[in-house]
Amino acid sequence: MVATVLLSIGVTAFALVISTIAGLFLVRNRFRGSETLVSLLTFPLAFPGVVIGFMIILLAGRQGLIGGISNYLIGYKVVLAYSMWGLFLGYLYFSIPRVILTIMASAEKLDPALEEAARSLGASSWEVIVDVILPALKPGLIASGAICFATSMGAFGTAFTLATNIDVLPMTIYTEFTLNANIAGAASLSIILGIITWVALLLARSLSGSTVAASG
Amino acid sequence: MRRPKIFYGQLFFTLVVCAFLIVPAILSALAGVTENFFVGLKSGFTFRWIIEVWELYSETIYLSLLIAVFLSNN
Repeated sequence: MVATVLLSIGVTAFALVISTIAGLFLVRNRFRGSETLVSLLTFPLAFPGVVIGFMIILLAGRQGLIGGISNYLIGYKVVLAYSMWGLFLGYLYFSIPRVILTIMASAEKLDPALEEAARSLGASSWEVIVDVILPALKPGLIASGAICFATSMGAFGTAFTLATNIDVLPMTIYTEFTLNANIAGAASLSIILGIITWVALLLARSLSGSTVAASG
Repeated sequence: MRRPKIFYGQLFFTLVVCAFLIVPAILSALAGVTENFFVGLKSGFTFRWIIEVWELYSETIYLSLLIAVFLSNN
């Protein structure tokens, strides 16, 4: 359970950082191919968790691409898919397109005049990012971070294909309910999962002032 | 127009993220048309698996579509 929370926090942090860099870049710069890049970055929205799980196995499983490359380079197969790393990659894959979309939407609403004003007053690029851009993006960051955390907490499809040896909360609920017929245990775990996710979304809503919805 | 150095850094980063999202999708598409996945691509391409899946699961696909259409109409 602590593992699930830590994993979700890690995924959220990574997804936010990666998507902010890529999303800001794509909103700021128009160049040949940038539209294609945006559509490529957002098309995995169509994949459900189970499909993403299989893709991670194809990428980092025993027959996977990463294993093949590492076998060629360092002489043994790196298999990430069935460890915490595989889950991490899968959740990240699931989250990045969603977070990028939200961040691009809030980055488009940024007022370029503010940034120009800061620059003409002598702020460095780094100061502009920290003092102007990030505060303006904050509601979007919080909202998408909360969705990302909530989906990672409850993601079942990805966990079902990848988490054969590790316990994450949705998998534990599934095993308790179907294999051990421990209805009470499964029910109370579900309530705990629900409460954690609900608190995260509530916090996000009160911090950002906008409505966020989770899906899994 | 000359672009600053940081542009290329960010472009590279974005391309890496893009590769992370696209490569597994291409891999799974290729796996679907590979004659024998465990042997690899050199075993040749085939549409056998797609036809087989269609014969086995077309009803499942129809059912999923039906539910999706029903939900989006309401």
